[in-house]
Amino acid sequence: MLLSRDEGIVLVLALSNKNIVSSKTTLNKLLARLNLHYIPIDVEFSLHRNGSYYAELSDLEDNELFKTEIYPYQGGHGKKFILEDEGKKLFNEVIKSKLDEIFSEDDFKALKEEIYNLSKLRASDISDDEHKKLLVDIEDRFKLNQRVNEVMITYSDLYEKSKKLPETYETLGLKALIEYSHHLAKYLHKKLHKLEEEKYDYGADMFDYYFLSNLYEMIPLLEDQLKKHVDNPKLINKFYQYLVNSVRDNYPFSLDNPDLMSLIKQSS
Amino acid sequence: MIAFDDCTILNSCSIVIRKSHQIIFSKKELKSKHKDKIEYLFTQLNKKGEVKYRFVPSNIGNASLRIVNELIENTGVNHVMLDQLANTFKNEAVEQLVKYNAKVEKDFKTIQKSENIEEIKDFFKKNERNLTKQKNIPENDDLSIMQAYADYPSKTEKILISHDEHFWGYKDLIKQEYNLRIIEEWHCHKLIE
Repeated sequence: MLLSRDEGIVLVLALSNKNIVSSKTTLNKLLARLNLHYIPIDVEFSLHRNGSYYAELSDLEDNELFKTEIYPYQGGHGKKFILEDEGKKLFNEVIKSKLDEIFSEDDFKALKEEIYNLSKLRASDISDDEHKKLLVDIEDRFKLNQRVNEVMITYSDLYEKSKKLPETYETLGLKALIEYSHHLAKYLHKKLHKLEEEKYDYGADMFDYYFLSNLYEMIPLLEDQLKKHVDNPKLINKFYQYLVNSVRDNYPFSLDNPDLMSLIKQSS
Repeated sequence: MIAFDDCTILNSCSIVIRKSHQIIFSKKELKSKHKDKIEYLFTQLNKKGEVKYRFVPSNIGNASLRIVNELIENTGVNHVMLDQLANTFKNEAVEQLVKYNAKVEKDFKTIQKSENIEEIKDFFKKNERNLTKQKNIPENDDLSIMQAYADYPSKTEKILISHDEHFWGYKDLIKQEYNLRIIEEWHCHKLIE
């Protein structure tokens, strides 16, 4: 499961206040937020020089799904994005059914509420909120190191436990998810531990941070699923689809990287 | 009248191998060596307008996992080579088979599996054979397929195509007792010749 860039934009606009997003910067940040809801979208995110999240939207033009409108703003002008009828149709007929593959009703409700509320904020407020969640800032570097240690150790433990599960169709998704997460956690540990104490991680691939944050958040849910031998396959599928499909050959830890196996060996 | 077991239907699918695993398998896709024969039969039956049958309810997830394990085994790639992301590879492959099945299932008419299998189970117990790849007695699911097919009304010969030894290992007995003709999956193309 993967949303294209346009599908991601339509999703954001469909859930935003009045189906409008007030600027490209805000649209960037709302698109980035989909990552924290485990929605894989075909957009590259990196840590911007100003500490913001930047999706490559420079070539974004009006199309049948959404249009732009210029409006006066603080003595200059701003550009807002507005959902078109075709976009609404795409949301109802395609995007919603894609989300149904991975989302429960509660998941969708949480996404809807968050995007709606964030769409009313300024871009800098959305950014600050996300920085805190992802531990991107220099003053959070100690916490980041603690988190990356904890994630690596916990997944190592979960991986050993998952090996004891019998192999059935019902358990395979969980075994695969924990196995993949375990190796990803080791990769992130090796990479993020190299960060210097006082240096901002300019230009970093944001997926390092999204993955770490999501791996951390997934832990209690995976522990529960291990105990229950999987009673919520949709939840497992949501996590799995996000980790394996949100990055392509542009990110090292990817099933589309021909050298992934060597990378895993190096991280061991 | 021709019916197929789920594994044979799944064996008509090619599994795309993602780049991370292509180096291990030295190829870009994984497929059964019988795929072309099954596909050929499907195409010819479709041209003739002949109905294809399958059995429900099916457990396509477990059938997919079984096929994936067989396909991996047939490549000679062992678990040590796959070790680091073995489950991930299998999960990716199973997901493709499940999606493939959802796409093609409308091409088949369905026969409801029988719940009444005590008699047929006794028959196989009394006539137990030493099978080479499987446990000697067919599983309950196999028995429910055989019983359902035997009970299904048809004016023409009833043919079941399967790669499961539980069927072809007893083909003469099944013909004699239940009037079902079992064709091994790897011979299925000959039905058209």
